[in-house]
Amino acid sequence: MMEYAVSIENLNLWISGRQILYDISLRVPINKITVIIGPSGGGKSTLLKTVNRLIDLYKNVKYTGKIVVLGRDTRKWNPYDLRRAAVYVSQTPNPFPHMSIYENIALGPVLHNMVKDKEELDQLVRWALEKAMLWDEVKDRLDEKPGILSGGQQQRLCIARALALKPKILLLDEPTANIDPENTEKIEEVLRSLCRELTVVLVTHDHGQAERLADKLIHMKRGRIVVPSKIQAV
Amino acid sequence: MPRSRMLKDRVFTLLVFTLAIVGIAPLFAILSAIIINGFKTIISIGPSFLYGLPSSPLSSSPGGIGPALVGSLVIMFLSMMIGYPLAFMAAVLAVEYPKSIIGRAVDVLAKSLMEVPSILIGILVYAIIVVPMGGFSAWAGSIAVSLVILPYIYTHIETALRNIPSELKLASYSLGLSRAKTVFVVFTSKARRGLLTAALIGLARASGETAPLLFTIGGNWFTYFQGLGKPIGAIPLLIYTYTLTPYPNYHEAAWGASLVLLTVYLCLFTLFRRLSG
Repeated sequence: MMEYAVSIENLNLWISGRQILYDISLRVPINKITVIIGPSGGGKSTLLKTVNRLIDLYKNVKYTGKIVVLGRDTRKWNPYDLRRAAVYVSQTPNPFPHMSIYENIALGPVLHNMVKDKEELDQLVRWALEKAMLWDEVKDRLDEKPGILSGGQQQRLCIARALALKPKILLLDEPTANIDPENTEKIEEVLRSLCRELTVVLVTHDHGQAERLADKLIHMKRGRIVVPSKIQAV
Repeated sequence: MPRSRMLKDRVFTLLVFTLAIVGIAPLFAILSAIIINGFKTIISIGPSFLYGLPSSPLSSSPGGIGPALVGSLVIMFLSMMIGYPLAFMAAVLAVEYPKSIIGRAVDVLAKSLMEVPSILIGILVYAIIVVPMGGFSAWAGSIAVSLVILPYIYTHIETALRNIPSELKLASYSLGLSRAKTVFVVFTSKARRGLLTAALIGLARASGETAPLLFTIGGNWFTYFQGLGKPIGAIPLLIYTYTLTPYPNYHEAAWGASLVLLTVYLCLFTLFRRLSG
């Protein structure tokens, strides 16, 4: 049985010849919240995008080392399957503005042929919105565009959109940056409830949030892991 | 305000208004001539002008433009069917692979095609399609027109795709969607207004092109569409041909056909303006 959802060994990464990550080695336990904390520009987001190979979409990127996700080297994964198994949620809420709230959630499952019929899709959309604690707020507005939602609600919509793919790992890149305290609290509550079912890797520079959420805490600074520690040590 | 500055301001305002009127006057003259003369023809014949057959040169009636109108619609449809997918794929290549040799080559080629005189495209299609096929055809005309409209469609699609925010691309790829699904599902739905605008501008250009048809369609004014491999008529070529004849009734028909063409063009252009907002 797998012990870790993600295991990274000696990862070094360069973008356009400039080294961004230095000799990163870490392990992400299954069904726990692992928080990566550190100042801006420290390589946290790059590290997150490297886990599910989103970084491959960027130009002039080169990396060495080994990344194992769900027991398999990421180089052996089909990148699309990998991104579906380890879904990345961006710092800026980025729902598809031209699609309805419903369509935003349904797009992934439909295009990945995850559902048989409309009824199953409706159930999946509802399940994802409930998991993201957004159902009660949008159940009567599913056909409306996400532009009507607040920033925090849009971010929860993005989390729901990710959850609808039934991923094993959720990679969250500062999901509460620029979001009001009420929505931040809701997102944290969502994450705590999710970690029973999936592994969460959260990037933040908010020490309070790290303290509240982390089962495992990783400090990063200037592309290096500085003090890997348990939350108790903070 | 000092008097000298007030005087300068008034002179400049007067100059701007005068130049604007000088600029608009020819357009106004053309439009009014087409509307006045075209209406005369259409009112004298009635609706049968749109579906009737041409009259004899010796007749006093201008006759109808039915076969040419159908021919124009066939060429517009076919040239869009050929040109639009090509322009779309070229734009996707240029936007998704902007640094690659093929992406850059496609971009340069598509934009260069805009500068090529359309009559040269007509001659090229004459040499590579009309001569080998042994005659003029709707196919040849449609291919020639599609090559003329391709760069215009390409430019609009490319702009629409380029304007898609990078966060949406990231969102789509984050969901594990392939590049093809991202382009064909997410991007096209996001850019659908731009894509529709591109189609309208393509149709508007296809409706009015004359030069590429001179050597390609054969100008069949007297029989309705007989097949894609047969000669066909088109409104712009009919106007060109009729105005070169010495027959007054054909001149009248050309005015009427001009008004029909102008109406089609203005409808498409108005839609285009509304969509591109």
